[in-house]
Amino acid sequence: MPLDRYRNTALVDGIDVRALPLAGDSPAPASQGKQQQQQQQHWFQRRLVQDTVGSGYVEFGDTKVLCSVHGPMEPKRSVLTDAGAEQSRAQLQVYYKLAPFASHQAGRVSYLPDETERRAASFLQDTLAPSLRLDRLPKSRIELHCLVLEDAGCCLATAVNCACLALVDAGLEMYDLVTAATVCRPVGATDWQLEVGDGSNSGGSSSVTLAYMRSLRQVAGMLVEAAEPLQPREVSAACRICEDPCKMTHSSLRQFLLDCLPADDRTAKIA
Amino acid sequence: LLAQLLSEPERQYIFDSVQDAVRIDGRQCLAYRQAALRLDLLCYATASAQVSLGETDVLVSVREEDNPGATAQQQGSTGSVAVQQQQAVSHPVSVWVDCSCLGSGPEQQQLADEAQAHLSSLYRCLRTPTPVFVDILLLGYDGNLLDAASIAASAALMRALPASLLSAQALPLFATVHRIGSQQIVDANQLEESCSMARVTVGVDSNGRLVACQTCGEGSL
Repeated sequence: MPLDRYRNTALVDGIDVRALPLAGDSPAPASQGKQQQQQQQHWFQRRLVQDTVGSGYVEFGDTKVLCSVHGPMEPKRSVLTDAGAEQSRAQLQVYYKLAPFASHQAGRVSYLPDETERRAASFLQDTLAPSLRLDRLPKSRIELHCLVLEDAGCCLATAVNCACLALVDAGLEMYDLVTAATVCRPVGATDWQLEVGDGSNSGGSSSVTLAYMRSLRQVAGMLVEAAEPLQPREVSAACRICEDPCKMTHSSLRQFLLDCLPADDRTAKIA
Repeated sequence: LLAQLLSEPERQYIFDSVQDAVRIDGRQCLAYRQAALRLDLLCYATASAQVSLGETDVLVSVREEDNPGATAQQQGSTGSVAVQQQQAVSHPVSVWVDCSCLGSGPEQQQLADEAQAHLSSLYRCLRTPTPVFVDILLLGYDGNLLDAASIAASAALMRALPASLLSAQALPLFATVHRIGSQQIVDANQLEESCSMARVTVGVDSNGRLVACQTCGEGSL
């Protein structure tokens, strides 16, 4: 894990009072503190939420996302799901919400999910379902709650990474880790740039989010939000640019998960 | 919805026949169903269109709000109506999808929400001087809601918007491609949609440029 002077790892076990701001101190803005390279690196943490099966927390730059997994539990029953075929796989239900204080540009976000959040939830569901072995848990339901604590750009891709971490922490069988990255391009520009969590991306730009499974070499999900009409080759170029950050995130997530294992289990898993 | 009552042998039959490039209604893999378009059905809407693609039936009404400045500022202290200066503000197109004709269950609501999200993103590049409301009513469903709704909505918008606006911005349409096994099909009906692993929905304008693209479905590509 990179050395991060602005994060106090003592918070994992206890609180160091010297790290808390005293009354009268002006709080240091986090975005100025982090170095440029740290903006492009992920910071992972698991087991933050106590009463869940699994949870994950990811920071990417200033964007912070927290995911928690509940289940397997009783499935939601309706007249149609009583048919046999629907019960052979677990139902995956994803809830996605921005915290009211999360957004930099939009001010206070309403506590009811709006259209963007519903769309993000269905994108997460479609992206994570291919990698989960839902057929191993018939007649059950898995709920994934995703809460964005701060949205400074690249929010959806970070949510995918965090959700994947939470599902692994919950011990659910998966075919592969799903990692995502976003590239964006302001209106009129020609080059796609990787979107990082530093709040630099304003609303009026096109973005391409790609969710990729590295070991299977398959695309789990793709979302193009165009602020201007795009040529198809520009979109495919953007997807190719997204591939490398996805692979790097996959490696760092995998390394983090291996580091979390006890030492004697580690050698068996690396093989 | 009807397709969720499909049995496993029926699902396997559809899957296997598509692998051999044979669809259950005899179409080619890349063939659309017979489509019909009717215009100007509703008298109170600025424009309206109805599209039927097989059994999928979509009715769209487009309303332009006239002179929003007048409604914003009503009688002042003298009792006269003060009309705001019409500002050169561009409004996005507001889309609403209603699937209540199919029932009121959660599956229908999810279908409506998904369609609304897709169609809002399709018209994201379109900016109009006055607020435009596009209301989409689903009268019958047999798969491929997005393509049918985009045809109807674009047809109605072409009638509603002034020609000067249209010449600058070409109206887009959706094309949805489903993947079943190793074959790709377009214009899937409800039974084929239930067998598909994943789909890609692409919004394309008349110049061949992409305005929206999304993968959906619990499968990978």
